[in-house]
Amino acid sequence: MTHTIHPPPRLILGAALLFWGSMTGRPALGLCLALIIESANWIRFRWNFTDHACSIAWRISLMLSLVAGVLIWLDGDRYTTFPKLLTWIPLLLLPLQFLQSFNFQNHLALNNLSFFSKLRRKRNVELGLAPAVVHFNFGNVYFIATLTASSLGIYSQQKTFFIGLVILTGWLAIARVRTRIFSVITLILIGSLIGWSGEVGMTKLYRWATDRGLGDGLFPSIDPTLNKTSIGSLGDIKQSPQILWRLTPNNAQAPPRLIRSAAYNRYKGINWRNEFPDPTPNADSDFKELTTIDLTENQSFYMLREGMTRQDIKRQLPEFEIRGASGSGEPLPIPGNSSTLQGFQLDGIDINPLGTVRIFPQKSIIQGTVRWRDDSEPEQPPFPKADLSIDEYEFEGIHEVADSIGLKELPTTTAKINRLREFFTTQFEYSRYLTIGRARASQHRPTEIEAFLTTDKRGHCEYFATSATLLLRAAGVPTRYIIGYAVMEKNPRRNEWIIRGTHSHAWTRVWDEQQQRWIDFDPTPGGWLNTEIRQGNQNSRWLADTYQRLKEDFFLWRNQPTHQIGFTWAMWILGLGVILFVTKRLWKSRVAINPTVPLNPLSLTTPRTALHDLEKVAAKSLGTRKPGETLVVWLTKLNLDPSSKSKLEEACTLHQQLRFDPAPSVHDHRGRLKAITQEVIQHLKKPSS
Amino acid sequence: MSDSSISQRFKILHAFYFRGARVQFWLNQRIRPAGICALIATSIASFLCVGQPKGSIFQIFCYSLGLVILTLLWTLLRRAKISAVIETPKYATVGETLRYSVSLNHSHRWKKRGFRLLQIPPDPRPSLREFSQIEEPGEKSRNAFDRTMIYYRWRWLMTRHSSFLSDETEKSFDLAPHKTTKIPMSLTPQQRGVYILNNLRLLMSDPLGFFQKCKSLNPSPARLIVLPKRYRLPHFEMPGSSNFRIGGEETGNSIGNSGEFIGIREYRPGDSMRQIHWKSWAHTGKPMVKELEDTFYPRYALILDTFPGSPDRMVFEEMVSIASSFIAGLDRHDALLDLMFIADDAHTVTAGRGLERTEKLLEVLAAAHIEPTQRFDALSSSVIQHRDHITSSLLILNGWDEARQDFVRKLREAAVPCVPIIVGNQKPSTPIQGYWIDASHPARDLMHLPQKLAAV
Repeated sequence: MTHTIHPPPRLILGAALLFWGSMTGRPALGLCLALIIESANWIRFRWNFTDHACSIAWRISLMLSLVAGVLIWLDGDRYTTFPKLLTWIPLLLLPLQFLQSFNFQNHLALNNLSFFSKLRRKRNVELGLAPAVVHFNFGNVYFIATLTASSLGIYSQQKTFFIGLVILTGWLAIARVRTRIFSVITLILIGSLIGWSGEVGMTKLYRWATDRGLGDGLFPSIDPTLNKTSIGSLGDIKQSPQILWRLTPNNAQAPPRLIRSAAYNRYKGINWRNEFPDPTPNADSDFKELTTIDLTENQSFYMLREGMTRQDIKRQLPEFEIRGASGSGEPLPIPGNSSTLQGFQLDGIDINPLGTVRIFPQKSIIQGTVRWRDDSEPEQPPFPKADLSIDEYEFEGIHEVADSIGLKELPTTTAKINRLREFFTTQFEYSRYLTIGRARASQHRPTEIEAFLTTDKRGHCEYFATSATLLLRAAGVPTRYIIGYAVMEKNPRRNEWIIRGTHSHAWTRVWDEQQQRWIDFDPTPGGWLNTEIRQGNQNSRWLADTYQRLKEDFFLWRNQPTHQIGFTWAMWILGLGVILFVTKRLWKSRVAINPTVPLNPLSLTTPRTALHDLEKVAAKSLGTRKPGETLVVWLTKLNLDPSSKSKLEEACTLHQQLRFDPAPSVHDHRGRLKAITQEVIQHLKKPSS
Repeated sequence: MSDSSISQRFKILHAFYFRGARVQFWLNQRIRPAGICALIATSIASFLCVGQPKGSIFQIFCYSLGLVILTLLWTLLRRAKISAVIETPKYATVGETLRYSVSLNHSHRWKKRGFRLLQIPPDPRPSLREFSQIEEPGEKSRNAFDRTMIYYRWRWLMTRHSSFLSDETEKSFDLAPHKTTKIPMSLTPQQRGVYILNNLRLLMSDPLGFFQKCKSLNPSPARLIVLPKRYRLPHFEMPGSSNFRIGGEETGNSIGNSGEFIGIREYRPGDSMRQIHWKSWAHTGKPMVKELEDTFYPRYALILDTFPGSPDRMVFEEMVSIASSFIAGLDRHDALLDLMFIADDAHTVTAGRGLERTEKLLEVLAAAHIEPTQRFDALSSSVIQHRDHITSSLLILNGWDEARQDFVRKLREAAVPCVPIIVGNQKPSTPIQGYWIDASHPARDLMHLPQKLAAV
């Protein structure tokens, strides 16, 4: 059964492309594409694109997709390459849509989009078999692809997206089904209600699922306001051995052992959150932009503490260079006592009261210098309420354990830290295989942490860090929970320290009342380092590391200002060359379509032609024309010789054509009629006639 | 070859494809292209929901899914009380589009919108025997996977077995209450035969055109005779001469006389009453008749082999097409033509010279089918019985096995001049007596026939 092939209605593709441009932040490109596609409605020539041309257009689209995919992949991580590539689909599929819009036929053969299918078709033709071709209008595919690409745009979270989506699909449906407009509108409206309410429901479901630790999407990213721990999960913890950051000390000083990404101070359920004395409506309000000081024209420093001066910059502090991939709004891992940052290409950088530094990089891979081992820390002093709070469900168990090990009686913070370290080192075991399940909501006792501290006594760093943080709080010491990385793998050949996903770590930030500063306390028994280092196949890791290093180095090399200009020029020249080549070929092979000339407007008065000039002369021999008798019929009564008679017949034909043919009159016809009429008049005026 | 001797692989594949084709047919009738697009969009959105959990992705997913569910429900709720009458011409020809109409009577009290009609052809799925034995042309050059799965063979057989191509009505139509509406339709026959058109479906789509309900209308059957395909033949001459065979008025049923007028003679018993010259009888008082010159013209026999031969059913179809082509070619000659074949019993249908039109022979050929057993004796007896009247005969044979060789030998021994045309997929290794026509390229081979066909 075959169906009639319908192209999309006029102008809808242009509208969809404008919509795509506005949703993806590419309005100029969207406008250009819309003009190219919709110009088919006004340009009066087409091409006889063959199946071969279709194959070429498809190959060009594939080639563009491949190049774009590689460029996007080089610019970002593997997780976001495909969605980013999808946002470029309207541009990548432009060759095929151009072919469809400017082709004489309103369909393409699906076989042309597959190499094997094309071969089969050729074979069938050679063997005299039915080729089994599936025809379709590519415009419909292009329309869906454009809407899909729009949904991934950076502005697609606005309400305008859904409104635009409904309008465009409704337009398509109404244009396609002209007889059941009311039903179509009803369906579209109900569908849009389902879409809107479904989105609300799915968003809530997603949040619920991620809050419950059922999944955090596919992509490893750190939320500076919420840390969903693996506490309560069962089984082995899986972490990627992929290199995340590389640290290169600029002097003999080794980098810090721990670099932190984010800090949290409120433990509830199994998650760590931020809590500040003055709550703000959203998390962004808690972050404050870092101040900068320009030491020289090209040397700008981000100051991590308030009130820092140029003198602070000039102080001799150890520093290291950090390089790695980072998403927008993700925390930058830095030591707890960092002083300044320098050399990063950022659109923005801010810090929250807990010292979490959030960055908005210009490129996906960043590189810069961190100065550290400062006298004081970026974060603010303890917030008594939050930094000493213990959740009500944990309160009893934590205090019992703190009492049992005599933590509260110890006089100093250092003594308490030492007691805890001894407690964990002697009685606990580090394990990546988790055996403590979630405590049910109706049965809060024992909690996961209590089970860890009293019965199981084995777990990974999150258990140790959370327990230590809460136990110290029970002993009256303000603490914060920190996540970040342990710097423990060195590549001596390159003199750099490598941080992998497996080096992710959690520890406690403790307020030392005597020194009036925050200090790092890692309660996890030291054996965990050896456990992490043993992970994975060394050969495959070496290959992956080399590949990633090359990719990052190439990326940074390409994005150096001088190289970037050259690269941009090369791309432009290449692109323009291709466009010129294609345009030239197309221009030569264009075929003008039959011009549809505008018709003469309907006129109530019939136009007067040169033949009417004959009436006065003819009346002398024929008498006055009767009312209702047409001029042509009346003139045929003239007694003329054969040559003049044929001329009069020609004049009558031209006269009728000029008066009644809806096509516009040709100037030559008027001239010809005038000349013939004059000849006939001269003939009639001759004495012999 | 019995089904038990067919390998297990063929049985499994045939069962799988057979059921799969049924499912595909069912889905094709109910999901429209726009619905396929909507389902694809929903699938893409669902994948993106997993990878890119964003509000806009959720919106596009829920919106497309909502429309799919709504249209599906809408389709399921559609109802219609409609009776149909199919009005077709008597004849159609293979490969030529036939236009006909269907009268629909809508007995509901409300106007209903968005209908389409579709004529469903007979089931084209090949039998297990055909699937296991008939090879697709060029199948040996396919790769090992294709040769193992032989899906392309299945596709090819499905295409070959398709009786006619029938598109749904191009535009949807509305039906006014208690009125009869005539809907134009068309179909393109792919095979000859007598079709009973009664599998008419009413397609009721949702407003967005995603899905459609498929309701069988059960119209009163319409009979359509699809005449066989005919090939162009070169100018040819049959062997034998009409001078040796007396034709004449006794062989025709046309009114009026033919032949040159010689004179008037007295009536002799046995003279036709139509020959009486009434004026001369009145003048002489004796019955007088007109004496006309006797006319002579050839009488050819076209003998169609309807016995089992090649397992490929298309070989027989090509034989019928070739026979039709010769009938059309001989029709131009001033001759009588006997079509002889076995269908349960021996049949002889004569056309030409006003007896029957050649359409009658084509109509007979349209209904010809393969007999279950070989009965060449009956056929040869029938031919030999008519040998005195036959100038020469054209044999259309399904292969060149021993039985057919014996049949030709018998005719030759009975002094029946015959021209064997042997049709098959593979030329036999044994020397053949007659002309070989490859069933895959009959048009090409027919054009290579000599101008004077030689009798064996």
